[in-house]
Amino acid sequence: MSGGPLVTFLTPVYHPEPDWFRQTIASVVRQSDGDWQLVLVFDGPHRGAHRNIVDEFADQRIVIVERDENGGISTASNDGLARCDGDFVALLDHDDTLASFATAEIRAAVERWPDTDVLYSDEDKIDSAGRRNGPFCKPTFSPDWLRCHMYLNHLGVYRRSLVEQVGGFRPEMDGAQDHDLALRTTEQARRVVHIPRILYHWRQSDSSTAADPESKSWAYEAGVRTVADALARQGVQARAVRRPGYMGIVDLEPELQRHPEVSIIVPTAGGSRLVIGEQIRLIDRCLRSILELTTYPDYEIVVVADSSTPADVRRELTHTDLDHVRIVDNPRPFNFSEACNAGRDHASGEVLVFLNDDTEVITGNWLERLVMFAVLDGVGAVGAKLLYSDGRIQHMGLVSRNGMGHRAVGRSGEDVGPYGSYSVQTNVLSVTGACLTVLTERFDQVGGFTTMFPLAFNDIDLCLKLYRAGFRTVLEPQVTLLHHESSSRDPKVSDEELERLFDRWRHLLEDDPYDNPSFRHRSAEDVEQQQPPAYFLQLRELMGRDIYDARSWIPGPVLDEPVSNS
Amino acid sequence: MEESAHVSADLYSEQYYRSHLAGGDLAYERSQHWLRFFGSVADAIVSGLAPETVLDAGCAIGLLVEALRARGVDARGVDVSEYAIAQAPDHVQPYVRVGTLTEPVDGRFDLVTCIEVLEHLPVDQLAPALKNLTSVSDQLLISSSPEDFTEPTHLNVRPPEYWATKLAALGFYRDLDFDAGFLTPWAALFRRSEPPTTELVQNYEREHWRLLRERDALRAAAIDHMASDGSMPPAEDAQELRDQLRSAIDAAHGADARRATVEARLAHVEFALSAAEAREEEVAEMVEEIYDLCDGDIRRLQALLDARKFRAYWQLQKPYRWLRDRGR
Repeated sequence: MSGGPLVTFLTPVYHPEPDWFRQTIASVVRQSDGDWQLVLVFDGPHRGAHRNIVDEFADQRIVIVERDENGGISTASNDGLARCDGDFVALLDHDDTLASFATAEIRAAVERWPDTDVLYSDEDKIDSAGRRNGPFCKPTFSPDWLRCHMYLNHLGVYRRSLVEQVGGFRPEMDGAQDHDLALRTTEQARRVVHIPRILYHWRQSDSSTAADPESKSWAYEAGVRTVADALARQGVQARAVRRPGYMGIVDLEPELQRHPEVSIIVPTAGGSRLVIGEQIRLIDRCLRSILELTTYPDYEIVVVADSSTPADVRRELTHTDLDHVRIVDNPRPFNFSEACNAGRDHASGEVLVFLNDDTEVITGNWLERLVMFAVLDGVGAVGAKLLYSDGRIQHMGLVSRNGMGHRAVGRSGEDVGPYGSYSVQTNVLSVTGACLTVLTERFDQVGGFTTMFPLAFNDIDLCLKLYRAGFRTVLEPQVTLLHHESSSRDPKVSDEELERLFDRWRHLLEDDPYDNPSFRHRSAEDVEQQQPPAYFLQLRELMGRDIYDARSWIPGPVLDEPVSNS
Repeated sequence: MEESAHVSADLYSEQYYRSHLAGGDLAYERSQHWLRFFGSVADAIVSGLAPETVLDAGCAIGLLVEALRARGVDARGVDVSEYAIAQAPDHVQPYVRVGTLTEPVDGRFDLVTCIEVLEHLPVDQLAPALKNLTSVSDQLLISSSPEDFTEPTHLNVRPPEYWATKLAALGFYRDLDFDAGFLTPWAALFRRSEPPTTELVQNYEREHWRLLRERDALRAAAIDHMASDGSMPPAEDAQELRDQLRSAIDAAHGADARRATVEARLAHVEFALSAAEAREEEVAEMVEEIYDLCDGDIRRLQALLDARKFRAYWQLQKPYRWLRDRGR
C-alpha cells in the first residue's frame, strides 16, 4: 500500500443543484471511517457558489482541481485522477450521496481479499425530497452481463494503479465512459468484489428524465462503440447494435467466423400432450420447429428414443430428414442422465445442445447465439429463456434460495425485468437441462450428466461441476423456446433428492453467488403479505436505519418454484 | 531416346539381379522358389485365358517364357538386359532376345504380359512402350508396383488408377471379372474394347459393391474373433466402459465438491470461533474496566458500610452502657 489514504472519491463537478452538491460532500465528510480523500474537479468557469459550499466544510481531505474550460466528463476525470492519492478511486457523481459506512465496507473487503482490484456495491435512488426507493441488489461479478450493460454502476471502486495501467478514462467514449472503464479494468482485474450493501444513493432528477431523447443520441452511440470495442478485445464473434428505446443496454448480433458442428441431443419417450386444446406429438413438433427455423449451417439432431417409445413413432422418426436426424435406441427405462450421456456418445459435434422433446424453437438464429457464448473462454453451460405455451416465463435460469427455484417464473414473456435483467445476457449458477448448450470437450471434462440424480437436479449438478472447474453459466434470453411443460406430472421433487444435491453442493447452494443475500431468508408468506420480514426488522434494530430502508424496498422477489427436468 | 535406352540397359547388370531385384534374402535367379512361382503363374494364365501365343515384355531371365512353353504355349520374351537374356537356359534361348520396349515388335500375340517392368521406364519412354505393346495384342496383363519407392531403378511408381487411365486412352479397359491376384495384389488384365460408359459404370459398381460387402463381412468377423479371444471388448462392453469412465470422473468432481463444502463449513466455524474469541477478550476487558471503574466506589461503600456498622454497634451498646453506668 502507498502512504496515501485508502480511497479517493473522484467527483467531476458541472453545475449541480447547490443543495444536492452540499449533501454529496456532507455524505463524504460524515464517513465513519475517515481514511478517505475527495477530489472535486470543477469542469469549466462559473463556480463561485459551489466553491463557497466546499469552503463551508473546511476539510483538509478535500482537494480541488479547477479547469478553465469545460472538457467533458472523461477529460475532467483524468485531470482529477492525476491528483488522487488513494490506493482506490471511487467514482461519485456531483449530486449523489454515500452511505456513511461506504469507506468502512471498502476497507473490510480489501482486508479480507488483498488482491482486490475492482469493487462495486448495491445502490438505490433518492428523489428530490430525499426519499429513497428502487434499490438495485446485484449479483456477484457477472462478466457476461457487464459486457452489454453497465450493471456495476455505483458505487464503482477501482484500484488506482490499474486505472492508470489501462490508460484512465477515454474521452471518445463520453456518455459510456464509466462502462468502458469498468470493462477495461475488470478484464485485467485479479479479483472483482461485490459488496452486497447499499453504499450509494443515486439522485433522481426530474429534469434529466424529461430531456429530449435525441439529445441522448450521442450517449447511445458511445454505448455501442464501447461494447464493440469490448467484443473485439474479448474475442466475442458478434456485432454491437443499438437497442431502440432502452437506454444502457446494447444488443448483440452473432457474426461467427467459424461454425463448429452442433449436435442437438433430444431424449424422448415419444409422448403426446394437449397443448392449447390440440393433441400434439411432442417430438414431432420439436423436430419440425428445429428443421424449419434453424439457420445454423452445420448441425445434427440425435434423438435418443427410450424403450417406451411407441413403434409407430419410432418408424416415423426414421423417415424424418435423414441429413440431420439420427435415432439412437436407449434400451433402458427412461433416465434423463443416461439418455443424454448416450446421446453424447453418438454425437459428432464440437458443441452439444441438450433439448427436451416438449420444447419448440421460435428463434431462427438460436444456435448461432448459443454457440457465440459457449465457445468463449471461461464459459460452461449456456441456457435460453423458456416460455410456457401461454407465453409466460417458465425459465430464466435457476436460483438457490430456500431450495432451488426458477428465476422470474410466471412473469410475462415481454417483461424486461428489473434493470432490464430479463432482456440481456446474465450469469446464473445453473440453467435447466430442457435447453442446455456446452462444448463437448467441457462436458466430457466434468464427466457429463451424473447418474446420481436420474431425473431431477442432474442439470444443476452439471452446471455446478462446470462452475467449480472454472466455467461460468450464461443465460441468453435473446434465445426463446416454448416449453410445453407437463401440467399433469407432479413437479414436486423428493426431499431426499434435494438433500443429496445439498450434500454435494452445500457451499454453493447456501450462498448462491448470483443471488443477492438481501433476497434470501424470505418466506413465500412474507412476499405475499408484502410485510417487512422479521429478519429485516431485526437488522433495523441491530444496525440502524440505513440497512432497513434499503432492504425493505426490494421489489417483490420472484416466487420460487420447485424444479423438475421436463 | 536411344541414349536413355542404353543407360537403362547398363543398369540391369549381374549386380542388379544379385542385389536389387528380389529384395531381402532372395536373389532373382533360376531357383526352386522362382521356378515354382512362375509355374503357378503360367498355370493361372493357361487356365484363365488359354492363350496360344504370349509376349513377355521385360522377361528378365525368361522364367515365365520357360514355364509357359512347358505348358504348350508359344511364348516369347524380350528384355533390355544382355546379362539377363544370357542367363536363360539353352532350351529357352531361341525364344528370348535383347531389346527395348520402345522398339517396334514383330508379330501378333494372344496376350502380352508385363510384370513389374513399367515402373522402371523413364516417363518419356512410357507412351511409345505402351503404344508398341497395345499394337501387337488385344489383351495385356500388367503388374506395376504402386508402393515400392525405395528401389532406385523405380523411376515411375504409380497407383493402379494411373495405368488404367493410360490404357483407357488407348482403348484398353480392365476386365473386372478377371482376378489377377495370383501375380500381385495390384495386377490387372486389360482388354481392347469400346464399352459404352454405362457398361463401364455398371461393371465398376458391381465390383465396388461386392468388395464393400466383403470388407464389412471381414470387419465383423475380425471383431467377433477379437471379442472371442478377449483382445477387444464387444460393443455393449465398450458402452459400459465409457459409462464407467464418465461415472468415475463425475465421482471425482463430486468428491471435490464435497471437500469444498466441508472446507467452507470449516472456514465458517473458524471465523465464528475467532469472532467468539475476540468477543471473549472484549468481554473480559469490559469486566476489567467495569471493575476498575467500580473499584473506588466499592472502597467508599465499604468505608461507608464500616462507618454504619460502627454506628449501629454504638447504638446497640447504648443500653449496655446505660446499665453499666447505672451499676457503677
